[in-house]
Amino acid sequence: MKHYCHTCLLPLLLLLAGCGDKQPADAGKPAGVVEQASVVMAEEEGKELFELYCIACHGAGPGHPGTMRLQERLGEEKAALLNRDELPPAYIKTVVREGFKLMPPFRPTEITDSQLDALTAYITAGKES
Amino acid sequence: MVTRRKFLKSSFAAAGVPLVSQAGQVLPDGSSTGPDEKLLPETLSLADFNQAIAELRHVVGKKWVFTDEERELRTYRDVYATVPDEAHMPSAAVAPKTVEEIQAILKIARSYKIPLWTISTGKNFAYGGPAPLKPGNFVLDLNRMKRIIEVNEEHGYAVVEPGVSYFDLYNYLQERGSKLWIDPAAPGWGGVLGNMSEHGAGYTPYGDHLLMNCGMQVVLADGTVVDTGMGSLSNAATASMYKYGCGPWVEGMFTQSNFGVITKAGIWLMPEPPGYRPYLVTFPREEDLYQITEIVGPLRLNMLIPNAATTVGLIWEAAPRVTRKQYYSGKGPMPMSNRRKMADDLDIGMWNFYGALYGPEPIMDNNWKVLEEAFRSIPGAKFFFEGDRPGDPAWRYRVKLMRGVPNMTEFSLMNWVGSGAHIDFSPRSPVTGEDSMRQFTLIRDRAHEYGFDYIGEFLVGWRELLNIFQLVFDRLNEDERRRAHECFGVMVNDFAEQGYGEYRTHLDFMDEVAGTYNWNDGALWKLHHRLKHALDPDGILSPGKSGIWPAA
Repeated sequence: MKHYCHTCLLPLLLLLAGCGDKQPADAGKPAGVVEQASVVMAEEEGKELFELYCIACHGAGPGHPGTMRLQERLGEEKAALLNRDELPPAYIKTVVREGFKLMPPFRPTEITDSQLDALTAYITAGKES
Repeated sequence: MVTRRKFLKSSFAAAGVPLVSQAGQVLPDGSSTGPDEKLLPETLSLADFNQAIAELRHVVGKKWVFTDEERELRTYRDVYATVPDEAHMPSAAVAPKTVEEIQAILKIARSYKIPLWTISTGKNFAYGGPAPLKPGNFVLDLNRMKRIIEVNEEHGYAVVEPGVSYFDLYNYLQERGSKLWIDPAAPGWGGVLGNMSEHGAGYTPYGDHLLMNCGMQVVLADGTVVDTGMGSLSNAATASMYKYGCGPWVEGMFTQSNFGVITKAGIWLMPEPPGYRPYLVTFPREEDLYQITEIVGPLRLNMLIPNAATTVGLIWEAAPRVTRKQYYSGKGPMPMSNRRKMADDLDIGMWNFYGALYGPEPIMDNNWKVLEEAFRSIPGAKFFFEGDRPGDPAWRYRVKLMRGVPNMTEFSLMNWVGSGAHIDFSPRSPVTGEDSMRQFTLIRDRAHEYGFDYIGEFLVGWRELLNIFQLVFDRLNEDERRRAHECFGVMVNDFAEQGYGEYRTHLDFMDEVAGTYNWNDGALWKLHHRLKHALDPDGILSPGKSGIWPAA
């Protein structure tokens, strides 16, 4: 699975972070730049959420219950969740909220709707639309 | 076409759950077709429900009050229920962030007589998940209260809010280079405060979580905020260092109960020892449990085994690596010949004892001499240490748990059958060989009678032997759910007859288990009810928790 190169965009984030408190962080910036930055920030959030909520079950290798289950169903290549590139965002969101087989549902206080957007974006990042 | 609403309606009817129409009329057969029918608490009209929801939204913000039964509220169901989900569905959930918001919510609840089922973080699987005992109750979800208020490196403790998970606290300590260990329950998503308040356990020497609690803050049903123990001094210097304060020690009263809402708790943390040496001893026969227990009891009592001494059954030990159908595709419990082949293939025992040595090397060396000699007296015992079991996730996660590293590997047990779910039967007996075998054979035979595998482990706390039996069933198989429910109920009675009480149980069996604590005409639960009525006269807090109900 492909993910954005975060270090390449770090200067942009630092630039935005340096904006004064009295102005919106995106004041005076071209719209495209702001959108790109927010995509990166969302993906950083998605990565953090994945590591907090998902990786313990869906990380690569033995000892991860979700990976063990998916390996049985889909084979080793697609056992770790980040190795799957066929998951539609709507499917991911439904499984997180509803649960599916081994997977439990997550409450909106555990993962908010906006966090779920970021998490979904991270899991599907790099996939051709 | 079966719409979701029609499906819900029929499920509610099957579960005996009344729905209420817009006019507040109870429809016992669930036959109303009104577009605004809504599951509600028994005591609440729809108009009052709507007004209460508006007031709750004013307190916590619209985003943190959930009423959509087809989306948000479904995340609050017990996905491991053996009864229809709707038997425990809430009508709303509210998620405060602060003590002040909790006080405001309680005021609204008192005003409208709204029952609030309190939960914190984690999943509470096997005991009811986030679901309330009674359908229609509101859930008071404290997961947003995630502050780690204090970590004291010198004195070895943390003070946390209810939404702090083991992963949260572990990550926090690691990021700061702390030399303090946490003591996680097996699922790392569990809550530090919630697990302690349910009398949960871990696997380091600090494994008795309630014992390691020091000080609480509790909000009573009338909104009063109480800091317990030394914390009740207005300039408290030892709130999280000395447990008992002066006068009655009340913390235990707020655990497994519905007398208040715990909003923070002190928890002692173990300083990293100078050495850590985990070990595994496997034993080839089921009947070896007798001698294992006879050996482990005195060693644990004298603290040569300083942590929760855990004797793990075959399938529990195998499940992180294999699934049932790899060894048996038939119905009913896996035959002994198949189990023996699985044990041989995986190089594990019918019983697998996990322990660890902690401390300076000379102390660990000396203690190991005593332990090794004791375990070698059992024919066929095999010993394993670090490096002996590469690639074995069962060994790896036990090594992590016994040194306080949270993980989720044990959740692999739910892979054992198709869509695995479990309810846990957790009785305690004396630590003797005879009692261990009686517990084991009673549960194994009942499990087999109802068509389930025995998946269990025995833990010696100090002076008691806890048998955790995971009754694993396929949650998508209606017949298995029914059999699991029946089997569990029968076991409650079996064990009560032996004088072995369950220490914790699922929503559906809280009344039944409470009923087994019946000495002197149920005097203890009568006391609980007197306390309940005194502290929560409106009966708004977690009705039915641990078999404790408001006055009719």
